[in-house]
Formats: sequence, C-alpha cells, structure tokens
Amino acid sequence: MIDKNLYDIAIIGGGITGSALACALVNSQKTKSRRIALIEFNNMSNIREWKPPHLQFSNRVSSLTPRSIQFFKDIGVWENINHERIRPYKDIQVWDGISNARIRFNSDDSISINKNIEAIAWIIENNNIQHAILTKLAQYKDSNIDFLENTTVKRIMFDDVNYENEQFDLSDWPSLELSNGKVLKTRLLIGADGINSVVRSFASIESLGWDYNARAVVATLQVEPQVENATAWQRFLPTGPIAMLPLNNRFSSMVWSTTPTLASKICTLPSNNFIHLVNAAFRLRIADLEYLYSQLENCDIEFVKEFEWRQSIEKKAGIGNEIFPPLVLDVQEKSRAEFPLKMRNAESYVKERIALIGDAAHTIHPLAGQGLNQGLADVQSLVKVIEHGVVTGQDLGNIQLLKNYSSDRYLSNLMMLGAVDKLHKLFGNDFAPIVFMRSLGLQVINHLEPVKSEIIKYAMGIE
Amino acid sequence: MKFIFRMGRSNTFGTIIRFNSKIKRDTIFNLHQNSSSAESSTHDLSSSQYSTINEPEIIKFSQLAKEWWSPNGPVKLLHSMNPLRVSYIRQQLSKYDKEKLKKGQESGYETTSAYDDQIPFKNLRILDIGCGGGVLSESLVRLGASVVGADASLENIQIAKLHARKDPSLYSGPGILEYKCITAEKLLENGESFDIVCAMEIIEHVNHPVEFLKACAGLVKPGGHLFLSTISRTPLSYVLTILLAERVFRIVPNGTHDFNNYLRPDELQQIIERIPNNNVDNSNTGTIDNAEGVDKKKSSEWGQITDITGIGVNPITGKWFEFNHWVPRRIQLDVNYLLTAKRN
Ligand SMILES: Cc1cc2nc3c(=O)[nH]c(=O)nc-3n(C[C@H](O)[C@H](O)[C@H](O)COP(=O)(O)OP(=O)(O)OC[C@H]3O[C@@H](n4cnc5c(N)ncnc54)[C@H](O)[C@@H]3O)c2cc1C
Repeated sequence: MIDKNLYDIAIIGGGITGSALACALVNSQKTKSRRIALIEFNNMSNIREWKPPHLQFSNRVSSLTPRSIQFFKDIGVWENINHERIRPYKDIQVWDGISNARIRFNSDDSISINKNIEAIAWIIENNNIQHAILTKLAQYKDSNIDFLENTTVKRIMFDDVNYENEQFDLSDWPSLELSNGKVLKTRLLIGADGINSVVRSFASIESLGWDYNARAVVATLQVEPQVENATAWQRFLPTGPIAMLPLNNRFSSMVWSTTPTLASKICTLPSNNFIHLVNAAFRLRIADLEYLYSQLENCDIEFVKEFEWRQSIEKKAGIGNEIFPPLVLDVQEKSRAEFPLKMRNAESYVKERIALIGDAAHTIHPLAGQGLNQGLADVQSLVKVIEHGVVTGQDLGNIQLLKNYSSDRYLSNLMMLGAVDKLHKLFGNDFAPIVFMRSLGLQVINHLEPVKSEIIKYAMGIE
Repeated sequence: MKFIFRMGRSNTFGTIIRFNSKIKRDTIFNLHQNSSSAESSTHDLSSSQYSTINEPEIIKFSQLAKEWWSPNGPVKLLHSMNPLRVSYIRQQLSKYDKEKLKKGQESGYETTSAYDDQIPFKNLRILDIGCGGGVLSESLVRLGASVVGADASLENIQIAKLHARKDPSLYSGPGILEYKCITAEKLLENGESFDIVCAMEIIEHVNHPVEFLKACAGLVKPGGHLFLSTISRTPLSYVLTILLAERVFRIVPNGTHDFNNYLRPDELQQIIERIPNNNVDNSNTGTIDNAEGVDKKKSSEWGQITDITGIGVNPITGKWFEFNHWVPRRIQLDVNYLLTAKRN
C-alpha cells in the first residue's frame, strides 16, 4: 500500500561513514526493519570486488582508534577485514623539527584504563575498510535497504505532491531528485556526503572554518625492512607535519602537510629525489632541509649525495643520534597525491528531518588522524539516537529526537577540531620563544605519565 | 443495564476538559502572525474523512496542528515528555511480561519468541484518553498497538487527524489508529474496553477527577493496566508549574493549570484502590488474564497501584528524566509523576 519511493532513512553518500551507518542500522535489532536508501555517486564495484595487489598498498589509509575498531566488531564488519593488510602500532614518536624535543606515547601509557588494548591505533587502507563494509551489507540482501550506487542526488527540495490519493501530506518530508530520474521522499535525510555536502547546503546550514594554506601529500613508501614496523612517526616542520605510518614490515604510508607550492613540487619530483627528500625531512636540520627545498627544480643535484653528506656531518656533530623512522628505499609508482587541508564545522548538525555526519559535518587537519574516527563516532551516536526513537515510537525525523545526536557530538567534535587546530598552529611557528616553550612542554609532558596517559586516551577515543 | 444507568448519571457531572480553550486562544493569535505558512495543505479536501469540514476550517486546523506539534509551541513540555512516558509504559509492561514468563502462563500479548522489540504493543488495544494532538497515540501505534485516541475537544481531534496524515507508517500496520471526539464516560457507556488505558496529563484538567478516574478504570479489561501521569499538589509544584512555567517564563500558556486540581500520589492511590470492582465496568468483555488464583477479597477491589515514579525536567537541556533511586521519595514525587495501576 505504501509508495515504493518512500523511505524512513535516506543516506546521501556511500563513503565510509555513510555505508557504515547503513550497515549499523540494518545490523541493529531495533532499526533493521526501517526502510533505508543509501545513495552513492560512485560505482562501487571496484571496491566490492577489491583484490588487493600483492606488495602494493593504496595511498589512502586511515589510522583507526580502538573505539572505531570496536564499533566495526560490533556491527560485524571487522570479520570481513583483510587482516594481513592492517598494522597496529604501539608507539608514537612526535618531535619538534626545530628543537628536536621529543614526546613518546606508548599504548602501555593507557594500560591503567584498559588492559585489553593491544595498540594505540591500526593503520588500514580505506579500501580495506570500505570493502569489508560492502561485504557485510551484501549479506543483508533480503533486508529493507536499497543501495543505489552510480547515482547522484541532483536536487533536494520540499514539494507538496500528495501521496496515496491524497491520504497523506508529506510536504515536510525532503524529496530527492536522483540522476536516474527517480524522486524519493524520506522521513529522515542523512548527509554523509563529504565536505561539499549537498544536504548541508539544502538545509542552509552554514559551515564555519578556514582553509589552511597547506596541502597534504600522501604516498606509499617502501622502507628498510624492519623486525617490527610498529611505530607512527611525526615530525613537526615549520611548514607542517610529516608523518610515517607503518603498513607492514617493509611498507609505510606517508602524509606530509606542507605549503601548496612545495606540495606540488614534492608530488612531481623524480622518485629517486623524492625518497631522499623524505629521508631528509625526517632527519636533517631545518636549514639543510630548506636548502634541499631550494634545489627541487635543479636537475643536476643528486639528492642522495646531499642527504648522505649532510647527515654524516650532523652525526659527527652529535645531532641526530635520536632514533628515526626506517629509511625510505622506494616510493610506489603513482602513489603520490595531494589534498587540500581544511578545517570546518557545520554550525549545527541537525535540522527538522535532517542530520549531518562525518566530513559533511566537520573536517579536520589530518595531523592527528582523527577525521574518520570522528565520523565513526558520529555514526555510533546517531544509531543510538535512532534506536531510541524507534523504541519510544517517535517519528525518526523529529528535531527533538535528532537534537540528542547533536548534543552528544557537537561539543566533542569541536574540542577535537580545536585541539588539532591549535597543535597545527603551535607547531607551524618558528618564533624562538614559542619553539622554546613548546619544546619544554613536550619534554615536560614526556615525563608526566598521567598527562601522557590522558592525551593518549583522548587520541584513542577512550572516554 | 443498571450499571449503564448509573454511569449515565455520573456523566452529568460532565468531566469537561477546560485546558484546550485556553490554548486555542493562544494559537489563533499566532495564526495571524505567521499566516503565510498556512498555504501548504489547503488542497486536501477530497479525502472523505474531512468532507464534513469546510475549507477555511481546514486551513485553521492545519495551522493549529502546526502550532500544537511545534517542538517550541504551547505544549512543548508534552512533546519533550513523550519519549519518557512511552519508555515508562514499556518498562512497566515488560515487568509484567517477565512475571508472566516466570509463571509460564499464556498471556494476552506476545512474550517469548514472538516478542518484537520494534512492535512490543502488537495486539494490545490502548485508549489514549485526552489525546490532544495525538503525540502519545502516534507513538503507541508505531509500536504496534491498536489505539483509540479520544478527546472531548473536537478541535484537538481535528488537529490529531490532520497530523496523522504526515506519517504513512501509522497506516501500514500492525498498529491501528483511530481518533474519536468522545469522553471516557461515554466510551464506558458504549461498552468499550481496553488492555491499557492511558490518561496522561489530563486528571489535573478535569472537573471531577474521581468520576473521571472511575470511568477510566472501568474501561480497563480485567488484568489490564491503567497509566496516569499528573502533577502533585505541593508548594514546589506550585512554584515550578504555575509561578515559573506559566507566569515567569511562559513555557506554557497562562491558565493551563489550576493548582487546586492537582492530586498528590497518595490521594490518587486512595481513589483508585477504593474503586470497587463491581461498580465500574464492562466486566464481561475480553480478558487478558483469567482471574484464577486471585483471591476473593482482591477481586472485590478494582485493582492496585503497582508503581509510582517521579519525573523531572532538566531546565538546561529540556530533557525529562526519571529520578534516581537515591533521591528521597518525597522529593521525587513532589512535582510530576507517573503511575501504573493493574486491574484485578
Ligand atoms: C590526506 C588525508 C589523510 C587522512 N588520514 C586520516 C586518518 O589517518 N585517520 C582518520 O580518521 N581520518 C583521516 N582523514 C580524514 C578522512 O579521510 C575523512 O574524514 C573521511 O574519509 C570522511 O568520510 P566521509 O564518509 O564522511 O566523507 P567522504 O569520504 O568524502 O564520502 C562522501 C561520499 O559521498 C558521495 N557523494 C557526495 N555528494 C554526493 C551526491 N550529491 N550524490 C551522491 N553521492 C554523493 C561521494 O561520492 C563520497 O563517496 C584523512 C584525510 C586526508 C585528506
């Protein structure tokens, strides 16, 4: 009797947060019989049939916190993960590019809170996560979910077309005009459609924030074979942080945030020079590194010689005896790519019949690897709220219900955004007193176990 | 027959609901302020349900419905309280389910394997007396119940009917929704009976609470439940619900409540537990529970109060909550409370 184009929940965007939400909703005993549409612009068949190439890794990886992993376990996604291609890390080494002041975090720092935690976080390819989610979703074939891929939401509007011979008045349900010509109506519209969210602009929710004058270069690196490659490394350079994250004993993933000009040069540099520039960025003094930057377009200079010569001098001078990340030996072909860096927070996450999750709601600097984890925390919160709505017989689109989601998540996301933004600003400074203070800060914190323990718990998503 | 005669007489006391006329004035005032938004549902006259109403009436009612249902409107406290009321009903009934399970008896509604968290009220006939714009009725239908939403005000019934059109799931089963402009007394006179009768936030608005409660009690099938929510008569409740809510902060329209009509939990308990079983009812209608094992003394009374729970609203978040156990009983029950009674 009910129109087949009517849905209880329409999720726009089948990225990781959108598809994880769909999966969690069909997995929940309380929400599984709601009628759900998941609408994704891309064709997902590549990811669905993902056959990971041997000894190659995607350049898009995420660091997932124990809390996010637990969530994937709870909704039955974790069992579909390719476990050979994930790497837990127990150590984080962060140091100041100018002063070399260092702080080490170890998952043991948090042991007081939970003995079961094996790692601070896990490095996983985004494709691996998404593949696992799609595999799980495919197991719900007979359920009430329609996955419309290859489909764009072209327009969202309110209309007062009457349904079922005017028995119903659905004028306040959003209508979605799809690229395949169909029009859907939904009780609850969820924007999981990333930073340029069409749902957010339909709801005329302002997104506040700024663009960093910086871009992130990612790459898959082949490194000197390690006995156990299980440390995440991050060095704060004046132009932005460079991070190396372990993939397995021979591969690591890089995220290097830097100025737009440098970023595009780094992306196009011949592989051989790129490798040594990365090694230099982790090991050499800032002045040496700046000299190398100035030579990026100089085809005659051999970066390997420059790097080795400068490093040998520093070693003699007793600088750089610290432990460093594994030496980079090679970069995987075509794995270099750059992304703009932004910080955004929607002025609100909900409106009547509308909720925003993931990057549609907030975007963060990747230096702390928290963006996706925040999105997954949104998903968990929203699922709980929708379950509560079902259990108490509410209309799932009603704003009073949805406000429970925003009051749960808004402040928490804002705090993370603020903390990460301040870190970025603090370390983006080379003014001597600030360098001195922050270095002192790092060293002090490094010796204050309780403070470290709190920081690490926060970063791990433990409350 | 004798019984119907008696109830007919008690009906002349007229348990009239006064609360709506006050709100009406308020909302009509608002209608003028934002009449531009009334255009949306002017074209839905063909539905037979509404054929007796003329077009200006529909415009008026849809605007009133909008006001009534607005989360910031004159009855916003009802909206914010509703999820807690529903949870409370679920929780009280599930206690009962567990008892049933233990006893291994057959129960009137589904317990073990067929119990569905999403539609726990399936196969239950529920009366929502004083349904207003239908906020509780709709929730109960979504949870599978077959609901009669009754209100003495025709205006409220129109508001409720118009609003129900906004949700097709109210008509897709297993829940059934029906609105009637009728009083509890009249329903009883008509020989109606229900597994559950809910009289939420209404006793404080009727003129003769004792008669009203008798009628509600009589509408409950043997073994069924009566749920009430109301406000106690204490200095604190005066300050909160009348002085602050009506006069200072104007969260609800002035004149919504009359302090003298408030009943304390002990008074309510006395009234209910003194209702004789033979007095009130349509006792030959269907039963949930065969009365075996219930001793004679007990069955001469209508039933017992099985729970009284104090609730409060957080002034900052606007969320309602049940008081923690460690809060002294006296304070818990000082203002708003929920009550469950079970018929023998
Ligand atoms: C360099 C870099 C490194 C990062 N590293 C980490 C990390 O280590 N850890 C971490 O937690 N996070 C990290 N992040 C952040 C993380 O990648 C994002 O937060 C996350 O991917 C956001 O997921 P999402 O599903 O919200 O949005 P998206 O991934 O942007 O997904 C949005 C989806 O919506 C679809 N879509 C959009 N509009 C429409 C439309 N109109 N119709 C249909 N479909 C539409 C798109 O096709 C897309 O699939 C990193 C980000 C960057 C840039």
